[in-house]
Amino acid sequence: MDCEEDEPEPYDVAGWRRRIESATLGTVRPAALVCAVQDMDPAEKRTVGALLAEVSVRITRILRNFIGTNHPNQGWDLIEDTRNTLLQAVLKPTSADGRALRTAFAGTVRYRARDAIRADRKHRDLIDYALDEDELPRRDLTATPNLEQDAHVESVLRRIEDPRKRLALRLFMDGAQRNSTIGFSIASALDVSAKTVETWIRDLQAELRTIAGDRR
Amino acid sequence: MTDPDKETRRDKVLRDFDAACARPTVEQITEWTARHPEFADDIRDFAGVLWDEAAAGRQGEEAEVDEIHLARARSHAFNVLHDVRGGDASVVAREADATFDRLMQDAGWTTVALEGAMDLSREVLSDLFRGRMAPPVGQRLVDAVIGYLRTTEARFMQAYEHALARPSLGQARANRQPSIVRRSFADIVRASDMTPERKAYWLEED
Repeated sequence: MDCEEDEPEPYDVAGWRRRIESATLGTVRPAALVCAVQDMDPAEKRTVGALLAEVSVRITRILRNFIGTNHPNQGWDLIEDTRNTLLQAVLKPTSADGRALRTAFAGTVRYRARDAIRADRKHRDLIDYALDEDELPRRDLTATPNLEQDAHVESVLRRIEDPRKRLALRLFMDGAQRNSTIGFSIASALDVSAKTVETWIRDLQAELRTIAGDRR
Repeated sequence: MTDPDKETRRDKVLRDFDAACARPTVEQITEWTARHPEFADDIRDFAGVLWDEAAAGRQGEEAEVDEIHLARARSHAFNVLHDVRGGDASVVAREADATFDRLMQDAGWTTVALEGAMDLSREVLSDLFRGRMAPPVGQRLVDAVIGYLRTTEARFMQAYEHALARPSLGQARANRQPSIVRRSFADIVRASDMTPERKAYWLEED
């Protein structure tokens, strides 16, 4: 483990106590805090507790950045559940997260935030799109209104509740900007019918045209 | 029923997907779902999260968090530590050196300033600090005191236990012998001179 010069070694209880007493834990790398919590004599409960409390603060700041306030209770329920998973992992050095947090703290917390949002969406059963198995012949779906409207596109996309529909349209807009014919492959990548994707795209295009018309 | 083995495999796949694709393309989604058909829908859902995040245009790694939520984060850590590694109440009590007076002093607060900042009746704070509040203390009050005193739940509990062990008297009454009357948190709040809104706030559970 690579500690920075002024960071105590994980097992250096006296060194950590000095950092706690001088209220300078805030400058320590979070991965070093995790190593100390995991490697320190568990009998040093007060010191371990203070270090874990600081780990919890760092976790919370990252989770707050990646879990938006658009979730129930401003996202705090999701943040606390995810923080619970991560704190348990810190105290279980053999777990996948417990190991990963020692070397890639921010990346691990960020992944947990993303995965929590994914699992939450699944749990809420938001993915309730109209599945239509009637396959249509392949068509060119790239014809799209003038792309000067990026900001408007995003405002329209953000209002779409079905995450998979939103993803399909994001991929479509991205492909349209790269001038590739991807409507059909979006359907296959997302496991929805081509007809469904086509309907989504037409709805989006109609809405964008309406916005463009309103602005004239 | 959840299969822990499947959860572990799903986690491995999504973690790798996360590391490999910041903004997954159609081709990447097709490739990864074909390679891991068992988790194809999870991969698609995860791709949606990554795209939404990219569109949100977030800057940096951390967000500002208010002191109450940071206090809660700290106390959460102590609870998890307690759950995972067993009770440390005896250790804490033996080494007890935190008192509310000392915590106030360390954080640079006076009672008057603190009750103003917290918008809390002096009687409530005084009953808490002087050991006249029977456990349990309302969570909102615990969180707020921890936040303002920039301390931890463990330190708070030390101070509280210290106060309970050495209660001090309230205002002397001429007509009867001084005695310690210990009341519940809810009774103290209800009997205080705060507005109904503030009482409701402190009594509410998050």
